Amino acid sequence: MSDRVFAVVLLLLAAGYAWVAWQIEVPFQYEPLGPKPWPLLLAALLAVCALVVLVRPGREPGWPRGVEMRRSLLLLLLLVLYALLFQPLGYMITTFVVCAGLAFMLGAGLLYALGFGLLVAVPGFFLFTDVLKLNLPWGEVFR
Amino acid sequence: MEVLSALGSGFLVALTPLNLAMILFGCFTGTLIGALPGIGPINGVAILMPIAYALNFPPETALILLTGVYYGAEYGGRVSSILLNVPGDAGAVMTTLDGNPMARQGKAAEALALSCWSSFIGGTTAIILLTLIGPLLAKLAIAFGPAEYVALMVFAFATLASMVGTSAVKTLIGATIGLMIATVGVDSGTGVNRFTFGSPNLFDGIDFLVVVIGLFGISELFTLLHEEGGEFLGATKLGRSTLKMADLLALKWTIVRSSLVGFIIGVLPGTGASVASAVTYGMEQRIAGASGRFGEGDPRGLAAPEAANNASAGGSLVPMLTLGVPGSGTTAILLGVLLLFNIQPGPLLFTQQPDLAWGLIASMYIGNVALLVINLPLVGIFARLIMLPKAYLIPVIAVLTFIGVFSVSGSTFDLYMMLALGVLGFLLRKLNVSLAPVILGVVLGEIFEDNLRRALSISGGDWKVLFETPATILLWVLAVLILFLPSLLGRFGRRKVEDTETAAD
Amino acid sequence: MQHFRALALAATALAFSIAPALAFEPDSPECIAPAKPGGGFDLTCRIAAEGLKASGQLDQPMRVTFMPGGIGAVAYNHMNTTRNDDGNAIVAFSGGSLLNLAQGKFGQFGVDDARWLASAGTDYGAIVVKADAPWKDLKELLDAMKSDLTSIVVGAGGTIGSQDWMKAALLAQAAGADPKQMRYVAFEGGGESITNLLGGHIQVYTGDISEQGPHIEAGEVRVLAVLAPERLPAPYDQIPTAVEQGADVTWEIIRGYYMGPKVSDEAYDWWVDHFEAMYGTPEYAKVREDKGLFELNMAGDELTKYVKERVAFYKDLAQKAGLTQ
Repeated sequence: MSDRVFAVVLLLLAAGYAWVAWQIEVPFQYEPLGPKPWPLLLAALLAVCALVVLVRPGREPGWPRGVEMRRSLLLLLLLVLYALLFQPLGYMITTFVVCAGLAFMLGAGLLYALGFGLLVAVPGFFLFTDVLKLNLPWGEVFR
Repeated sequence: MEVLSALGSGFLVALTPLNLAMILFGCFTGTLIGALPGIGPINGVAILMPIAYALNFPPETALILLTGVYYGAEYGGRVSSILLNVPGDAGAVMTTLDGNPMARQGKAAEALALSCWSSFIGGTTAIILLTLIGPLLAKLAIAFGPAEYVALMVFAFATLASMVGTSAVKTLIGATIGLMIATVGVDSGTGVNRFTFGSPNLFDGIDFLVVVIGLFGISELFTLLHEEGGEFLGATKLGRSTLKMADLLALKWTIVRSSLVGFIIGVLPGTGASVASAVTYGMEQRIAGASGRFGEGDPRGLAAPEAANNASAGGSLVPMLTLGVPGSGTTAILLGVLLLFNIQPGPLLFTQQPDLAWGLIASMYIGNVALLVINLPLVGIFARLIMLPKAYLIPVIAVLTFIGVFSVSGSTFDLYMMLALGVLGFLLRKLNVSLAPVILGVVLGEIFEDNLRRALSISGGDWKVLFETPATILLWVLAVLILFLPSLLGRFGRRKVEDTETAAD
Repeated sequence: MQHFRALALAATALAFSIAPALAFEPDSPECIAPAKPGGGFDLTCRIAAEGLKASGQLDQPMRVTFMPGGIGAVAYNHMNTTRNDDGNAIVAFSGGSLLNLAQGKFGQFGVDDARWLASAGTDYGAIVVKADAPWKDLKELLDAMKSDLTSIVVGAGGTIGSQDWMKAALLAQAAGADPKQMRYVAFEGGGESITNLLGGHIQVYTGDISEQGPHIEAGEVRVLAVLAPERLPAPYDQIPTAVEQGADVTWEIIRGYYMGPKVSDEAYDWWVDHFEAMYGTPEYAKVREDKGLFELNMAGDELTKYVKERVAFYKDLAQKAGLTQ
């Protein structure tokens, strides 16, 4: 079943990709191919592969369920928030929340989780920015 | 002889206390940076470049330091690839294929030591070749025009045809998705936007780094979360910590072949460690035939890409030093370093700046030995990483992937892109589509399409241009051979087995 | 209230230009290079950082940060959205950025959506052939192009519509040919182009003069013409301009800096004044020459006027070449 859904998604992807590729317009070009044929070829290739999967799907994978599913979604949510707030709130606050939150969710003790989050967030920040000279955000709210 | 005396004077430069200290510092820091999941040579060199610049080092010292970092990160990159299945850059992707299964079978220390030695041999072979025939090879780099690159890419695809994994059609799907990712951005021929949907963030395409870290790093987080094995990573036993000499000797031809091929691919501008490791992996798999357990922890599948990516790192210095043309993403940054120091690399570098050129080469001999000496004792310590509880490991990997991407691009958009690719990577893995072909699609696709269209621009649309020079013909023949040779050999091998069986009767 | 009065005073003072430099002082100066480390934009930023410091115009160190994407498109959008009034940040631009701006490749924003601050210097286009090429000067090459345009393959490090392509198109036009009919190959950057020239895969490379130094010295290439209005200083003084060989083609590749569109006049004027003060110093001349740029000093209104003229000129060129409607 999963493979069938996958195949349908791939077919839609191939169709959408081909549609966008078809719209590409060039003022002019110096070779017979131009920017269109290669993407169109790829779309066709993907469509053929998808059809093969549709006809002969593989075994059903074990999807996350129950607690695992909730954990996966929570992880995804945390990561999206991390990306969203990384620049506005800065590395330290967001990293503390993500590290402490994830560690706690995965079974570390509350105090351990908080301490660990603090360690990665604050000394980590100065290690990465001052020692390694990496470019990390302070946070726009502190400007 | 002339070469030897030049190299001798190079050693005099490299062995001054400051330079020697910088070699060791660069190699050590590079190893540590490279060992962090999601952070690779490009980050490493980019990190230390401003420091080298700010400290007012003479150019040869700065270059020696940064080359040490480059090398060290190439070395360290294997640690997170093998132990965590999270490569730091595209060149380390193939290392995960057999390195991680080895670690999961309890052979983490052995895998690390093996990759150390393979890297050392690959790297040293490359420098010896660079010393002896570097300037000569500049001619090879020049001889490679668009048509030759097309043939080379066909050869690369042919070697990879064996990478079918469990399902050929799904491998093809993975590669096609990779090829599609490569088409995003401004078309390098006509300058029109493809698949950018008007967003300037996509004009330059999707960065390799973002693709690698997203597909491998982020998706690994979900996989770790989901997989069996409780609190710790798959393997809880460290396994025997030493690599037996006999094991290494058994791999000697794999390592030698991979070093040579990796070096040559590195010499060609435009192809670097990612292509080199992929081609040699495919080649070894083809040569091993039915005897291989590639993808399930075959030591040959680890030794080949590791020897090749270090050899190509050495090789890519050839076009950089002799032509002023970068042979890889990282040498592009090293080239930028030279320009910052007002040194224009090119054909006269060796005569005008002998201290810099030969000092650098000598420093790489020392660096290679230093890396081996630094890394072998660290094997045990690195291998212990695998003993970290997942509750701490997962957040650390998450933070490092964010740092790896953000420190290079400074863009929130790239963080979203990384997450999206991570989810895609997780779904693909679940659906039994392996991720290495996706990366290879991204790497090879762009080189293939661009050069095909360039070749056709040069010929005015005449397709014959693809088969006209000796180099193209050779590569096409090799591509056909590598596609069909294994099945021929296999048939021949079977006959021989049958023969001996009948003889035994 | 006190504070407000001080501000008002400062503003009045500024209006009369009594002490324009006192009202504003950048507290954490930053130069944004809209590319990855090590490229041309990085160099442009280093020129500002080192030049301002060496000439004593800026006490604090200037940070160089990177914002890659679309030859400056990402940074241009960023400066128009999140940091449009940041008086601390200057952003590097090049002639290539202006060309893309002219072709509408910077998204919705146009030439008026930035405060053009100062130039760093300039480079010039060059027509380069291999040392053993049959053409001894530009005239011979143009004659050869006139007699059989498609026999000569021109290559350079840019797509159709890029600076390198524009140079090739102007060359074809000078030969009386239609740029659409020439043979042109787009490579990625100058490095790939020069290897392909040396390998004989292309015959003519329309690059930049400053990159050619080592190759000229090694006797590998011959520069048929430099696309500057007049001859350049040594070591390039032996190379004739296209103009003196009868082809009216010049191509200037300016490098410089802009600021966000809503940056205050105080901040903008501070930067303009300090760049202008820097221009005259020998320290700056050395920094600029070390980085391979030729002199071109313009700041404030002068630069703004220049940029607008250039963008209009590029728009016209792109239209004539059939790139935009």
